[in-house]
Amino acid sequence: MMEFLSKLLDTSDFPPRWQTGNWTPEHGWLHVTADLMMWAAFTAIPIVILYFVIRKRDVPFPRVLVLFGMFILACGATHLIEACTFWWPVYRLSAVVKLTTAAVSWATVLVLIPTMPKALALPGLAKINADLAKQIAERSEAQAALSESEKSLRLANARLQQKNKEIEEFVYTVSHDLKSPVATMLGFVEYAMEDVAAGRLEDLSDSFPRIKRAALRMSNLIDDLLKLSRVGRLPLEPATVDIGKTVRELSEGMSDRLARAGAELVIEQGLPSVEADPTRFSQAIDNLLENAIKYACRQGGARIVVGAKSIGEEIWVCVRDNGPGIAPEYHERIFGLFQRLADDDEGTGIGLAIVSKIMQAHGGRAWVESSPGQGATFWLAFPHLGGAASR
Amino acid sequence: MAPHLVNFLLVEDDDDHAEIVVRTLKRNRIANNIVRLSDGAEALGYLRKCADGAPSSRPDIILLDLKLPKVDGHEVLAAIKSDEHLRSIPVVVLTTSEAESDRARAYDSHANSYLVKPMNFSRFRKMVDDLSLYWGVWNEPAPDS
Repeated sequence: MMEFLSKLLDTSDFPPRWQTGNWTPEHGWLHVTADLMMWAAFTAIPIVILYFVIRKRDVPFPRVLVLFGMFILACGATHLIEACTFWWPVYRLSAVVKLTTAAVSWATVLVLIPTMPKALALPGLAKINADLAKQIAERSEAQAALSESEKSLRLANARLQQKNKEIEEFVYTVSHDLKSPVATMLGFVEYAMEDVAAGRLEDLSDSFPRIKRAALRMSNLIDDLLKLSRVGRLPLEPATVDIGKTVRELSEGMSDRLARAGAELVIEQGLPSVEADPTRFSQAIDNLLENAIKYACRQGGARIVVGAKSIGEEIWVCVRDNGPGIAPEYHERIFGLFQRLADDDEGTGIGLAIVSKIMQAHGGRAWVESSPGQGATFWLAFPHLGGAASR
Repeated sequence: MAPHLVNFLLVEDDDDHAEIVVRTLKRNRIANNIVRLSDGAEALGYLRKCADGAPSSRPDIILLDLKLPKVDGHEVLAAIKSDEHLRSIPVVVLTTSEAESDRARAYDSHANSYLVKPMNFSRFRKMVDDLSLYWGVWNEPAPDS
């Protein structure tokens, strides 16, 4: 080995390059300078490549880059020896270094060729950017769709909760109002039993009519509740309704009651027609008339007027009475379920709730204008349905 | 000994329920004076007059329904219990509502008792029995006087 090395460095068989041929100093130093510059550059390049590979870490094909580095380093070494041979003719070492360079170069070629398809398959930066931009767009679109559906879900949830609350309130009110006559019946039955046992018959004649009235009231409540639930359940069948004709027909059915109450019903002349479900329309007007008879006729000289007018796109129908009137704070409340302002045996507290629901089904509205002592005017506003009634 | 005249204020919109209460009080021979009002607004007006100093009409006990026309029983109860002249008057809530929210709200407003109609009419009668005993004893002269 030592012998091989000393043979490799043995210069006895060759003269230094300066002594071969007619070198001018400029020519010789040009070679020496260029070779040394190439050696320096060829040494610097692999260091930079190595630095790049180490720092970057995710460089594709790092082994190819390492081979590149070695190949360039080897090239540099041949140039260094070229420069040295001007003074130190180590031509054997030069041959070995050149052979090593050739081997590393070919190894690089052999590794490079199979790598080429993979390298070609790598996407360019522009494409990567475009893909990324597309992905981002897709994701933000999905995000938007997601937040949209989340929003509608939240809305649906809020609507459900509202409905739930309404149902709870409904059950609460219904159970209270249905229990009230039951409480009456049980209370008086208890007394009646005591009275029978004690032979006190005089109180019995008071208890039984009360029990009967409570039972009738319960039956009316149930009937009205069924009507109310039907309003929301059955679809509207809109038609053109002659307001005057409908009210005249209704008034015929209640003429006896009007006469008994000493009330006068006035139907204004030339009332327009309205687009509405005829059954529901007449139910709403009937409830308003019943209401007026019940509350306005408590004092003598009651006068109930039915009128209508066209306001913009709507037809407004009114039932006006000259009764005791309603204080403003109750104007909204009376359209709620079981909201009665007076204690009476006749009213179930459902009539105006039915009117309000009928108007909702028509996409219209119901309200009252009144002040205490000034009578009350109940208004129903029917929109033009245009053949498409909303439920 | 003349029986103590107990002033009852009954706030009840239902005539039949009011009659049951009145009959119960009469049959239990509580010698009483019953004022019956049928809506919350009336009750508040009456109690405000009492608070302003009409001692003869000041109720010794208030029987209060919760579902009342105009102003509901909860509001009446809250008004009574937040008035320094009225808050000492015991209030018995007599209602058909078994809803926990009503019971909780009534007790939060310092109702003294909560009785559900109709099942508790008998409890109400028991309570009236106890009350008559209480007022009877309360009305006895002190032993050494």
